[in-house]
Amino acid sequence: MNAPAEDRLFGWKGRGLRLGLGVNAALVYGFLYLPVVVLMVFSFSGSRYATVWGGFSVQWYVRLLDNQVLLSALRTTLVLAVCATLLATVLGTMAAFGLRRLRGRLRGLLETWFFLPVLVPDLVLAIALLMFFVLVAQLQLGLGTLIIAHSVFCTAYVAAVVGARLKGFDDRLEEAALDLGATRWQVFTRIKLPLVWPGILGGALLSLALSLDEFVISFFVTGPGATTLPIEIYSMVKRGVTPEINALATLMLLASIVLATLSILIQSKNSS
Amino acid sequence: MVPAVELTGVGKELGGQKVVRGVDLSIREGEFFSLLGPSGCGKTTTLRLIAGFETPDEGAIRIRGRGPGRRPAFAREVNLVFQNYALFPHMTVWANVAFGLEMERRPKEEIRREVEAILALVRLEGLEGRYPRQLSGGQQQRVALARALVTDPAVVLLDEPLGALDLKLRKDMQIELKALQRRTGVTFIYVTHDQEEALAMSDRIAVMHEGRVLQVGTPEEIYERPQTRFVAHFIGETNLLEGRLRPGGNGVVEVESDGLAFAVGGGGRSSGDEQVILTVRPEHLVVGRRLNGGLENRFAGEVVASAYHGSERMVHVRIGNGVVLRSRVPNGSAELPDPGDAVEVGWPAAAARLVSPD
Repeated sequence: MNAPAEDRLFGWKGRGLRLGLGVNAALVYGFLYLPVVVLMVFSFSGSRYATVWGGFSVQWYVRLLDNQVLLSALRTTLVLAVCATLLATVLGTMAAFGLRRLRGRLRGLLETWFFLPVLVPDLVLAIALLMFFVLVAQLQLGLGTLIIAHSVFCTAYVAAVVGARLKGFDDRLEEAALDLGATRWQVFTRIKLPLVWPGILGGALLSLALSLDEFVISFFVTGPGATTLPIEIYSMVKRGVTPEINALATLMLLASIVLATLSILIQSKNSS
Repeated sequence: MVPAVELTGVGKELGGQKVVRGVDLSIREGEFFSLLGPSGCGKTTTLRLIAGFETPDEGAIRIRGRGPGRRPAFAREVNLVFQNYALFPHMTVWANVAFGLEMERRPKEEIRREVEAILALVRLEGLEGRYPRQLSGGQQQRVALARALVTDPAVVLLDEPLGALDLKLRKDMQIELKALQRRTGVTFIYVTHDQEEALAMSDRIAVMHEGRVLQVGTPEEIYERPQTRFVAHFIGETNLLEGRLRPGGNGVVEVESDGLAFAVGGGGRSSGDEQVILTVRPEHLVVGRRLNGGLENRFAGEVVASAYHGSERMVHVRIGNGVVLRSRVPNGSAELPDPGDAVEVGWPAAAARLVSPD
């Protein structure tokens, strides 16, 4: 039998070390996931107080489906997320391809500028966008401004993810295709796009997830008639946390787990 | 007959450096032609110029007598086999090979026939459905060859294609490549820094150094009759002696170097008191306790080193004034000298050659 490396090196001290590390890991995971587990458990509570256990029940899920206000907010959120993601994926992918064609210092500078929205605090971006919409563009605040605002930060994320994928692209593949008579367009559709596709899809899933739970920016640039789910929940919580919100949060958690799993599967399947 | 590829006065500057200077080459149809030189000699840039990935600053490149015309240069009937093969990783072997034909919009049935034929030629039948990452280095190499050959180009350019393979596989692939080129009759231009590879495979070799072509010739000409010091030194092993030329008798000239006089055959190249370089290959040097007569060059010396190389032994002999000559002695010859032995070393005047400085 092979003893673990620490045991062989440190004897009984090694066993103590391993135990300590195990306990530490358990605590960290507990810290991360215990609140979520509590939330999920209480979404099945029969009590009408969010923090009191009142026996198993799915009534809050049923009530949720009858809540027209929440359902309309969900619809707005989904429309917003899909539109922003489509826009951001096209723009971000084009930007990543364009940036790669540049050489030297200009490229570094432009790349940094492009990824700035990722680093800038949401609050700053939110105020800036609001000012721009109201003062400069003089747009009616609503779903339109929401879509534009979400596209802005999502584009930066897509460009970052696609750019990372493009970094691993061997330029000689492009030369090989050109050499065999392909046009630039054929190189793009037959060689580049299939190879970079996982990056584009990953970027799209990321921006979908980011758009779905964006609160600060939405809060600033939204207008009458366009309430997103996070904003609706925020105003509900102000009146007190109900088990309905627990149920909604559990459903959203499931949705994001599915998105994250898809993204990981796509990335790992193609990176081999 | 129109040459397959013709370069006249081609020059190219990259990054402020002249990497190719005044290159003239004429490569015949069906020839296996090698560009040989150390790294940085401009051979790969020359290849990329022919492929059309670079455009020459000076001079012209003609493929079968035609200039680039209005199409992009890389669209010409020249295909490149890349150093790392550059196979499309998301396509099967079949799709990789068919790619060029599809770009030419050939009919489906013809594509199927051509791809099948070329895969049989490079012995890849049964691997059509595999992806490049599922193939060995040698197999990937053959896919790259098939992909370049299938569109029936005027010229196939190969950029150190065997560099990534291990020694044993490389020797096998050398033979296979040469056989493939014979069978297809396609002109190959082969870039390598490996002189043994170039000698073994080529019909003709151009030796390049610092952006220039120093000598073009058959492997025998390059090896037996090098024209410059670099060519003599780079191809195989040799003894180089610098000295002054003196006229001698009997169609022989003498070179005086470090107080020693060496006879060189082949007639005088020059009359005067000229600085020259003499080269003589180690296999032409004979070493023994006492040599028979008949050798124009014969010196007494001392063995300073002797290295065993399997089929032969490399013996280093000092003949005075610090001049050390290397002699290749085949194993199995009667007497094998040891370091410290007093010996004689000699060679015929005809085995030595005068070369020009580069």
